[in-house]
Amino acid sequence: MIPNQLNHKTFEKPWHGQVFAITVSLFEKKIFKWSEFSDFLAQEIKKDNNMLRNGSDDYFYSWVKALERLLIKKKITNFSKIVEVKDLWSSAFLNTPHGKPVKIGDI
Amino acid sequence: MTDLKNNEGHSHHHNHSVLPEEPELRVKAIETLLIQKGLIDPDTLNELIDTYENKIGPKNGARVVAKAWADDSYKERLLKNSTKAIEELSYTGRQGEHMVVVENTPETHNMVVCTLCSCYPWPVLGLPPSWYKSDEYRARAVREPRKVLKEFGLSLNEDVKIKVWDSTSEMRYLVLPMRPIGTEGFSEDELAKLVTRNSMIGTGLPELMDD
Repeated sequence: MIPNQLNHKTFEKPWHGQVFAITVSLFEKKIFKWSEFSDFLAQEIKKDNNMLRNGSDDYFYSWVKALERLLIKKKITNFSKIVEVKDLWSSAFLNTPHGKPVKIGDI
Repeated sequence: MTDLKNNEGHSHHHNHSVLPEEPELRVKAIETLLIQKGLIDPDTLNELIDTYENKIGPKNGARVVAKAWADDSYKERLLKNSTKAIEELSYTGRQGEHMVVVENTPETHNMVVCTLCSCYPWPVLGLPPSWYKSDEYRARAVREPRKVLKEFGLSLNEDVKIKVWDSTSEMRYLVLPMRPIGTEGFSEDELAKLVTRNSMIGTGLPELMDD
């Protein structure tokens, strides 16, 4: 049964909106063509196509992976750099007292 | 920050901030790297999010449909050169560059899918709902459209032909539903209120209000 959500929220989680906006913003700067991105997105979705994906969290996770691949292909960054900065954020969250703004230092 | 979910009713205090889930951390990492390189600007991101959350949505498409219902010459232009006719209402831009409007008739019902990912006409419909991006809809819309439509509450007569349009990054579709019976004399504003998002994807019909 396909769910028929009447109350559609554009972005169910803030990071969905964030990764969407980053991608559109880079596209507007002509860093890539939309078809280059959508090809990667389609590949990422296909990798995990099991009829269980609900098109929300899992869909935007594919979006994140597609964008990472595109940034690496365009030599804007590389995979180890992404992991490095991600780890900085993880430890910042784990080391920042509850309620205080979470920040990372220079990268 | 809120406490973790599934804490079974008891308050679960952390002495550190809650670690976001993996994809969220990856997005934060990408964002940090791109800001550092000067490739993105946080204000622009916020504006984009606001635009798609609050300004662009199916209300735009509803204006297009209502105008086509009310104005025969507009309808003719819309079916002949959809992109240009939609531009007349200033609904232009990202993912609306190549639009094709497909008209429902008593003989043919149209429905739209993107089997590969999530291509969708943003300027007229906003961003797609989750179900449009789900594996199930993408796989079944082509294979068993009649059954899928039934699950959306739309039972078509067996003699109505169903045409399924597969969107691509180059071509986006908008369904022009049939004007509901009993709406003679309605203004464009009144007509626009009847047009639902799903009726423009083909998984629903316009809705007549009760009052």
